[in-house]
Amino acid sequence: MNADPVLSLSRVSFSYSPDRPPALRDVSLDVSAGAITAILGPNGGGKTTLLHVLLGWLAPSSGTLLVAGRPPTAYTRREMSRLVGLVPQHEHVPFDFTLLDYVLLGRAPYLAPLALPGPGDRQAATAALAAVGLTAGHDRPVTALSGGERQLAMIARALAQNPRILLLDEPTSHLDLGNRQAVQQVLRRLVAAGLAIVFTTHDPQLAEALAHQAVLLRHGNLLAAGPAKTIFTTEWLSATYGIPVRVVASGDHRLIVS
Amino acid sequence: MSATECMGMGWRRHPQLVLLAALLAAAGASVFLGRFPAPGWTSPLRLLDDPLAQRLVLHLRVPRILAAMMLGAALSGGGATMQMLFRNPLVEPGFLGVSQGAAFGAGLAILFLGGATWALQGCAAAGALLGLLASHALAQRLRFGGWILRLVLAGIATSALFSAGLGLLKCMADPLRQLPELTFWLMGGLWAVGWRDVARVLPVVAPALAIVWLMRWRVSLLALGDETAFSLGVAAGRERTLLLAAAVVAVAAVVSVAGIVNWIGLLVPHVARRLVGSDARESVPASLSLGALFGLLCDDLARTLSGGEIPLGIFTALFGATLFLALMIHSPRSAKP
Amino acid sequence: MKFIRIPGFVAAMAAACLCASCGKSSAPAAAAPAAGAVVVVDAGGRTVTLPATPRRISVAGKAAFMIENAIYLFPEARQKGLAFLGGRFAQRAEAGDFLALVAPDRADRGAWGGETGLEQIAATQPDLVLMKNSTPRAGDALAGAGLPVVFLDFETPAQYERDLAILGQVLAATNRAAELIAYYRSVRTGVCARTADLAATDKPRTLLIQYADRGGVRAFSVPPPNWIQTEMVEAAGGLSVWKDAAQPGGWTIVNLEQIAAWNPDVVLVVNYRGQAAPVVETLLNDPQWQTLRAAQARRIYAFPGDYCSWDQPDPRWGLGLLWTATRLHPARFADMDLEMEVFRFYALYGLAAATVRERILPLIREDLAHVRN
Repeated sequence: MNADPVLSLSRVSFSYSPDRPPALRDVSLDVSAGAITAILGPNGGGKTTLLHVLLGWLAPSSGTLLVAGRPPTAYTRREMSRLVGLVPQHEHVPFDFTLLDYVLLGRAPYLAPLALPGPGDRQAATAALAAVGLTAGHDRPVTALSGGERQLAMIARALAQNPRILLLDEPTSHLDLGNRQAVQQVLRRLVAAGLAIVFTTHDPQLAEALAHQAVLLRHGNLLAAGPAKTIFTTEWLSATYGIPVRVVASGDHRLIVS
Repeated sequence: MSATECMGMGWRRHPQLVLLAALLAAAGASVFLGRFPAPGWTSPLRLLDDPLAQRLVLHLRVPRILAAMMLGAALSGGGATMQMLFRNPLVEPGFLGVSQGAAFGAGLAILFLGGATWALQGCAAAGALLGLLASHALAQRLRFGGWILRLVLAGIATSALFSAGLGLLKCMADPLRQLPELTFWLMGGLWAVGWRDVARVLPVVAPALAIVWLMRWRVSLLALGDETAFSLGVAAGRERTLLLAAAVVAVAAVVSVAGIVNWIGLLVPHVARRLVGSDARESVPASLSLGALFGLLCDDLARTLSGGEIPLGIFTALFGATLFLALMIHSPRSAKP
Repeated sequence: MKFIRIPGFVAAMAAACLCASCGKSSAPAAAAPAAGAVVVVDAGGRTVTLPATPRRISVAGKAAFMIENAIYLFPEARQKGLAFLGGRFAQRAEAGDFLALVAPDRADRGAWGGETGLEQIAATQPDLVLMKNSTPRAGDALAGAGLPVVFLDFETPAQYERDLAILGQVLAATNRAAELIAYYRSVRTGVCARTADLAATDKPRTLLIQYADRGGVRAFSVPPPNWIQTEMVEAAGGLSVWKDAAQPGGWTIVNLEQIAAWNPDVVLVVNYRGQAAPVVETLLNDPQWQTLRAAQARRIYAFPGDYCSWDQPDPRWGLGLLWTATRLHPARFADMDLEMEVFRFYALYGLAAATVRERILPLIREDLAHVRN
């Protein structure tokens, strides 16, 4: 594990508006390169908000965020986008871009405002597609892709940004088992190559399978953060989800049963 | 290689150039099409001999051809931009209150500001902007249905409101001086277009559409949604503003000359996307060229088929819808347009 | 997260306005007209300079027939090459073709719906184009092609005087124009002189309505306050009861309740789609209408018309005014001989008295007969 965290939150609170309760309360978190961090919690608990704060899209009401050691204001927007990539939960685009054009959009951080993608960008996009395992059919419209392929395409687009950090919002929520496996394998490969990955999920089993580090959020409060082994216990998960949860050891893995 | 194979290769490699060439060819042919000296084709030889024919072509036909191309390009480019930026393939300037707002603004200028050129253009632009903002604000407040439906409903309501406003202006207008001018806006057509109108509109439409063309790849980016755009380093608010302002200004300018012409902005971008793919790098320029071509062909018919002026909107609806249906039936590549 | 940045938009609009204002139209410098040139100020206020008296004149546009009807008042017009394009005179079917009567040798005219295409106009190669006053841009476009356009209105009595003078100028028939203007003036003064001294209480409350029957549903509508019908009623010494209720721009439908509320002394019924006399008979026998003062006094009259109803902005408006005066004030206008006036009017078109007696009088005999009762 790298000593210097690429992302560092220190006592960050965030509120969408002054008359609403804060969506995040006093959250501190360190994300390191080459590690996968999972953000867990019930729906509405602030997971996506935390992800948006990490992205720099939402500015904390209090506390500090450091990206690669500096605050977000020290970067231009383009520089930030070369550091942090996002794979959103929902993306409904009612136009059938080809797969390659779709991934090519991820090259925006490297292009001047009026510039068009060039051969180098096409190469980067093709490489990103190869990295997620989509090696053929780059002419297919994205609307014709299966759910799993769509997810991989979004990951490829984020990879085309060449980021150091990859943020994913509920990456496997709508996927079947086979596709879930495919995404998990891709994420493992990426992290082995040195990327820092943060993903939110409401499924503790996914987090258990993938994450090195976990963060438990409930109603915007950070209940616990730390190595996965210490977090995935019956007590912590029950407290997070508010329902009785049992963690059963099974060989190297733990089964989380509600 | 046979001729068709050659053309097919040319199309695949450089679709934009093919469209542009088709546009120029059609424009050139249109110069010889009209009702003088007889309905139909004017021979080029006649053109060389007859000074009246030359004057007529130079002062009546050519400005009208230019205006028709600008009209089609502006409405179609505006429609393509709005469809991508609003992530809604069912919108066009006429559905979002832009055309009607421009007409209403122009009506106000005629009634209260004497209808001077700058007042007309400025008020049309302001009205168009107001229409767009109203549609968008209303759509955000609706609680019924998904985003696509809400925007369409809000746009139809806003368009109807501005149309009603225009109807009210018609009631208030002096029937002899102002009413004929006002009625003209609702009809839609290039009947009385001359060089003065072209000179008024070209300096506005050309730069505006140039902005849209230059930013064509950004249009694809902006179609992705706010958080994704942000993560890709796009200043979504600013770029969207610039693109929409350019589109609205171009539409307002052509509405101030041609009145309200519907369907081009909705149908031509769909056709363009069918022909060259959805990516805005190709589909936006194709929308511009195809729109210009479409406007030109429809206006050629409107001014040639009969001695009396047939409203342009009839042809745009007829051919636009037919072409659209043909393409939808012919290649159902995916469920979504 | 502002979807569209408002200040940015406003700035863009301001820039667009600045751009647009660059295209300001400038008035061309006026040059001294050459000898033989004709300079007119048309109905749109534009000053048009024609190099010489035009020999070929094209009349175009949706309302071409209004100018068509007026231009044949000038015998000089027949020496010109006249072309008519656009809106045809909507005559009563049973009346036949008026203009064929007036100018039997006129060429077959083209007629198209909507505005006449500018190229179509240019195809007739005229020296002058006459159009109903609408958009000045058409004038600019045609002027650019070397075809001068003079706009005319022919909507109100005042405009008739002005536009007849203009026609006189372009046809080099100013004397004839003066004669025609004198005719209309004499008609007007003839009526106004006898109604000028009327006190408001002596003026009958008058309602002029258009009757329309669409698919069995009948509707009555009143004309706008600034149209010729209203002016006609007022000049003839009546009080137009509908002035406040009428909207400008077109006929306004009124219901029977409103008519009963007005309870006018005299009702003039106009029918553009057929004869007005049968309508009046129906109304007089209608139990609902019989509650009205006008019905009880049997002062509901059918507005006469031969080729068209005399209430319209048509050269026949003089006859319409005279007839209205006889209905509103029968005592004061007892000596008015409408038949003679008809002969006098149609003589302006150069029609022989015999022709008028055979072809035109039968069309209005019934309407004029009412006058004698």
